[in-house]
Amino acid sequence: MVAPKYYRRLFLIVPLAFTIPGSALAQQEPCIGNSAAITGPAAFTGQAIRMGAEIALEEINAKGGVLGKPLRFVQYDDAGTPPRGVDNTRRVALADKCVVILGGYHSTVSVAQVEPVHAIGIPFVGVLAANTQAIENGRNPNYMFRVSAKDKWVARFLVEQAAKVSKTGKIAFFYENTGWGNGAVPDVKAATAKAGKELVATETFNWNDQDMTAQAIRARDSGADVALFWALDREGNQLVRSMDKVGYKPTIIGAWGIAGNLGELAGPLANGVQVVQTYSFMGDLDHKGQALWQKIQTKYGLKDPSQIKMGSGIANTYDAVHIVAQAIEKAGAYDWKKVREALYQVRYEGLVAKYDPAFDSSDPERQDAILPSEYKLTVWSDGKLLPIAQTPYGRTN
Amino acid sequence: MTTALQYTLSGLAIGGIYALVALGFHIMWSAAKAVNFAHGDTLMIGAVLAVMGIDAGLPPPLACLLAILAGALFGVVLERFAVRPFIGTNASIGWMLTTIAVGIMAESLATMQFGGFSRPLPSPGVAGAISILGAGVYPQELVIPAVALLAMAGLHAMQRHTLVGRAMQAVAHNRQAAALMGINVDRIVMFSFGLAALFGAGAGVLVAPVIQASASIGVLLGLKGFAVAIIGGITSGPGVVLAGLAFGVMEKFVEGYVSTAAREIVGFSAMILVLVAFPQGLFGRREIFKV
Amino acid sequence: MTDTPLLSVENLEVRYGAATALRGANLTVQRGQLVAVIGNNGAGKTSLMRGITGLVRPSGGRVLFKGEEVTRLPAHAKVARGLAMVPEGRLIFPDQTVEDNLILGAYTHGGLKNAQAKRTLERALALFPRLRERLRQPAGSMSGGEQQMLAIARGLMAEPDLLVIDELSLGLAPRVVEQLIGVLRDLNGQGLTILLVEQLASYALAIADHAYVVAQGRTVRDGPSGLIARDPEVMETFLGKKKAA
Repeated sequence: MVAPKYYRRLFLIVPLAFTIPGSALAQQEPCIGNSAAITGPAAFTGQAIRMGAEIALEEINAKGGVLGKPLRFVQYDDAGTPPRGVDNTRRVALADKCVVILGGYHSTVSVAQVEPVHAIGIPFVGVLAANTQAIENGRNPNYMFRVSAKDKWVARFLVEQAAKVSKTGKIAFFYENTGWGNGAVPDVKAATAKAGKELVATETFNWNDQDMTAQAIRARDSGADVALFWALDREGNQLVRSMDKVGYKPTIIGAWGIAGNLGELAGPLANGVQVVQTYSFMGDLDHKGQALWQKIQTKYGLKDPSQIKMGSGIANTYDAVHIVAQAIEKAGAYDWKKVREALYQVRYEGLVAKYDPAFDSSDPERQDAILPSEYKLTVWSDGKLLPIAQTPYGRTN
Repeated sequence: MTTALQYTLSGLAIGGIYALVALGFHIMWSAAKAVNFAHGDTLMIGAVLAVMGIDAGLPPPLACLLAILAGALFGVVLERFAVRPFIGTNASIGWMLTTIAVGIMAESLATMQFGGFSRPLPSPGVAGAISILGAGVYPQELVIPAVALLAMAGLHAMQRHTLVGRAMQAVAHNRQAAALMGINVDRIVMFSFGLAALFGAGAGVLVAPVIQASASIGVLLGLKGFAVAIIGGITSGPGVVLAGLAFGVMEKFVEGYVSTAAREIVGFSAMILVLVAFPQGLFGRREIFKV
Repeated sequence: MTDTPLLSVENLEVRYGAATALRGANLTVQRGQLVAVIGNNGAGKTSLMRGITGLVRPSGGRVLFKGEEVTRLPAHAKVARGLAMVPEGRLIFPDQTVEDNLILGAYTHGGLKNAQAKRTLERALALFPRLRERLRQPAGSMSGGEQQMLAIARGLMAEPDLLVIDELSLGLAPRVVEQLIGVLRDLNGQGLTILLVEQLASYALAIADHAYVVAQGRTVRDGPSGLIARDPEVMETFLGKKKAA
């Protein structure tokens, strides 16, 4: 469990005492660490990160590794709890001496990791959790990077998509009453104003709520013909059912909380619900995606892409590991400070996006590598989450 | 007007679940002056096993039936090993701890086996919403309060007209007097707990198509069902059923006209206020304990 | 057959925690007898009855019923074997009707299902016409005397071989007690074996064949009730009569 305070300080200070004085070439090990949910309800996210990392490393090591050394991946379970995420960060940095640590799915953990990451000075690359402030944290130098979506931009993206489809110009926003949901409200409000539309209903709900008819009635009566969802599958399902009951049929566009099993839970009511992703393995893949899917099949024994939960996680991690490998090469050493600086030099044609460059040190928003223009819209269709262009729901314009 | 009707109908649906759960608490308390704090998990067992049964290829009605029976078995076993050893001659409350512990273990086990995701339980009752004077509701949601009332009436009839029902009332009043009638009190208590768990698992199977089955559905429903039992008066079957239905409707109105966040605050505040004014619940009876 | 007593109690011990309420009681009831048990408050009469009927598990000694050892059997099992008790305080079920109470009395025979049970009910109601009038009333609404009648009638419904009655007169007016005593004598005359524990010794001794005196947790004296009634110590202690000078 959590060690007593003085033990932790000791654990921190003793290794630091060996690394601070002395040569600029403080050598870390050729490993990439990760704190993620391996157990619990979000275990599929830890699995996705592992898959992306392992396949990327196989490719890299097949070409001789980085700086002549093979890279390895080490993953520790945080089960989505911040204290364990913090402990894992210290373990990865000070015990395993990894050169970089990747993030996990839970934004609360990423937020908690900001402090230890900067105290130690190890570069952090998020691959799933999209919380804005974890990465745009005002630190200088900033050791938090991310190859994934950013909530602020997701909110804007949702609003932009809504603006495109709305006939009445009135938008409703349904968000869960948590840090994640509440954090999105100002971003959605700002984006709606900017797009010149009206946010006529902002409705919240709690985890495990079963009946949102009250909220649905209010949204319906306000005239919103597009509803934005910031929810998880479980509540998303209750939302669409409640809307169905009160006869409210807006276009629904949501953040990736509803990318898990909404199609199974809500059945035909999920059809047409759009979800933001950074990547999808469903439908027609380009050749890079094909290649990766082949490797996934071989290495993990999957038969159908619908067996992949959180494809964005695999793709983000895959790109992130390649970016990190390039940064280490450019830095010329397994050195935290040098690798951090080198990350800004990386240009890479990845699976999710063309990173040109991946990061920009002059723009605090650009600690994030994936831009909203790279966000993809997928849509639920008969229980499968497909890229929208490949479905009847895809707009031709 | 339509809105008020919407809230009332939705409220009766969730209220029916509270009522069934509370009825289970009433039956157990009457029999043993103890309750199963894992009672909420009987809902979870009913819902989760029904889904798993369908996964295994059983026809849905059979899966539901087996799940309900499994829930009843859970209640029986729990009474035997977690409650009966602690019903002593003193006012011992060991059963509170053991049943809470069993509840937590059951949920953890379910999470391991069933996963953290919710899963749907198919039912013709949620295939399409029907509109009543502008309010939208699933037929399943109308069935639930009807079942709750039926259960209440059935329990009452059983107590009035069957030997085992009379025996349950006798045991509820005085265990020793009941024993002198030749009633095997332990067996009646076991039967009562089994019956209560049957109601709970039945409630789980009824509500899962509406709210989806998951390892954690029992927690809040069990807690609210208990609160409702206290409010209605745990010694009164009709009392707890009526309290359950009213509580559900009240919740919906609060959600609708105030906010969702206020729902729990208002609900549990109501419970406290009722208890202050009516310590034995609205329809309950003062109970005297020999110490 | 007449050699084997219906009920045989040997050195019975009953403890409540650390306190010993009964430290060695011996009692025999032959078929057809009416046996009285008298003694002061707290002497152990009720503990003796509870130990015999199984409401309390004896900590020592033996109870034999119809020749079979039944010492450790729980109360409900003894009722099934024909040992019924009308308990101290009557313990009727107040929220249920008179009829319900009587049906519960017949629990070990399946309630009022068959003709035999219905006949037993008729006989009980014939004995206590007041109950027939109040058949559908909640039992708790009746007077103390009526409740005692119900308790006795309920005991009869079990068709017992032995009916134990604990503290008949508790809280009842003397007239009612006399009436009930008469009923017990009639029942015994019709062949019912009765074991009667009674505070008012004179009433009990008047109808009993045999009597036991319980003091300080033991059966200290027993004999034909006539002898016991004329015993000087008994007379002084329980019957309030002074010794002859």
